[in-house]
Amino acid sequence: MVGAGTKVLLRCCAHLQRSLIRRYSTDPQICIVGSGPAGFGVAQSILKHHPTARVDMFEQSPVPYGLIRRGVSPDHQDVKNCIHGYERTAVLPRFSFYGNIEVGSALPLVELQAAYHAVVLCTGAQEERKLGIPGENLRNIFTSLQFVGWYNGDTNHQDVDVDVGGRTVVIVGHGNVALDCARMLLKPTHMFKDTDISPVAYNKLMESKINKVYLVGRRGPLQMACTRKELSEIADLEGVVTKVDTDVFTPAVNQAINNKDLKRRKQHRLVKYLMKVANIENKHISKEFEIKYLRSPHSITTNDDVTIAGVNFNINKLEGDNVYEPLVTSSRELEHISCDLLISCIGYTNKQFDPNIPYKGGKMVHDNGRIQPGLYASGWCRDGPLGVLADTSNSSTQTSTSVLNDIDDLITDKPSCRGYNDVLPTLEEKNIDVITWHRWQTID
Amino acid sequence: MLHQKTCGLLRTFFSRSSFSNNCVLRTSNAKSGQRFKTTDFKPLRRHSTLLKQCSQYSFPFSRLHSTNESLNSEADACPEAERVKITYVDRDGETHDINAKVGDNVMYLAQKHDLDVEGACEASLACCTCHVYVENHFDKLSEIDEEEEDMLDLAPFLQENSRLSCQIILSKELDGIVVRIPSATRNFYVDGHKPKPH
Repeated sequence: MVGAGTKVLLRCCAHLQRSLIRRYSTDPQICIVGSGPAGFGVAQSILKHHPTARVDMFEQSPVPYGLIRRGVSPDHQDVKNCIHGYERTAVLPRFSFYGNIEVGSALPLVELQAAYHAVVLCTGAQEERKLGIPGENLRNIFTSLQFVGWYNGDTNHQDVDVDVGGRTVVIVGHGNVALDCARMLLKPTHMFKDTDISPVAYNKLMESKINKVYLVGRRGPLQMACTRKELSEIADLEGVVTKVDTDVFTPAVNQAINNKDLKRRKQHRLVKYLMKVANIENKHISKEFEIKYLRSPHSITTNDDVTIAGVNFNINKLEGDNVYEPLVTSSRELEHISCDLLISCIGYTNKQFDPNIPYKGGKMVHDNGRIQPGLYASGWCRDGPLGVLADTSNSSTQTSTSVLNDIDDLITDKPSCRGYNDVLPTLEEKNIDVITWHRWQTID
Repeated sequence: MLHQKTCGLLRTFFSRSSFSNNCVLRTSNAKSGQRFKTTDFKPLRRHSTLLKQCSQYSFPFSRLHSTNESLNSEADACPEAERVKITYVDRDGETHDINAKVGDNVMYLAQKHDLDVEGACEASLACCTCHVYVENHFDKLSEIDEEEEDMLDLAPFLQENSRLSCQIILSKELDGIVVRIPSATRNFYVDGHKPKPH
């Protein structure tokens, strides 16, 4: 005969046994597509918070790290320090890196979804916005991907033929990428000597005669996408004057920056800083950095049909009641700025990753990173190509929490996922030369 | 692998709240199988000594017996002129009165006392994870500089009395200061190495 107490004890043991079997009989197989900050952020979070999950990371390039490697300037080494953390993650026993695999065409997403309990898309924003104006194909015109790739040593962009023999550069865009490009041209090149700047770019820039950089954007100071810190890195440069037409600091702008709205704090600080540093001249000025507002590129001019000679801009007006999100109307009036080099830094776009993923307004439709159970996304591919490292990390933490919340059910629904072993036949069939972490370290 | 399973078992027995196998603490006693929203889960507390020790494959008994008494006695040994009282209000609203001394850094002091203040960049003004609200004596704090303001721009739930605790050094003037930890922080890796606060 079994007493009541013993029955309770037996029931508890049975429950514990069942739950242990359920929890520990299958190790979750997680696949992350993309090896940039979003991907590594999710990987680190999952490995930290789950004792047995396996994480496989697929990357289309043979080289990992995404924009951290390709997009961060040589003089921003502290931002790149996160790579140390990624390196430590990459050698963990429950983590594997598989480079040179393009998910989508070479390895279909549905196959990954069948092989893994959860697939997390961290593919970033793949395409650049184009100016879309006449003359865009003339010589010495570059997109930010090309120019930044060039000075960062991206193997795809080492033969980009940047001519820095002229005096004047026009950069279209008011974000941090535009500021990075401006700073590369305004900062004394010898200051990049001990950085990981591309040697090709370093040698070319040492010969540079550039002494005027325009930073041109289509809206006003309250709409600038850059941050005060990055702007100060140029404004604080010795020998460089930051010029701004003070007409853009309208009464409406002045009123806005003095209100206490904490949500707009970043923008207010940026504009106040700009007002403080604008137009301070002294006799040691050798270079000019001029920020132009209310200008949209109209067409590119040339003197010889080969190389750029300048850019025509439409002059814009800001209207409406919302001083932060005004209506932008373009007049027919044109202003011409002569220049020898043009760099466009007008942002990126997401192309539709997979026809089965719902999009709205250029962003994926998701719930805290969950597109559907088993399919997740983080970073720029999910919410559009905006935000700095901090925002991407936040996004990855949110997404990994969703994955961890679902993991019990995902294992129950797909008890026989074998992860990489299930996709290996496809990779072999298509003769894909997979770059493992060990091989990448040999290449590096 | 086996070690991990043992630690998992220990977690099941020792955790204060109901616990799922994915190591994220539930704040409510919800039923197994229920779907949770992200907001149901507190971020895993790094200072949860039991879990941290488990993940490092060691037993936590030494930490279970630690108290704040030995830490407070250090401050008590100082002359009166050097002693500063500080109260931390944690995420659950619980107050922690600490006897500190002049020169103590508010962020490191919190970590020393097992309070949930992160410091991902180790006080180098490259993150906003040590963000706190200063409930009193706000005007007596040293003037904020642009670098700290740049990082505060990134902190969620910013208020008028927000500061980065890594920049607050205790002085006698700040005696009786009350510092509240916000309900959420943004964590990002400047360098992936997470500082162990102990």
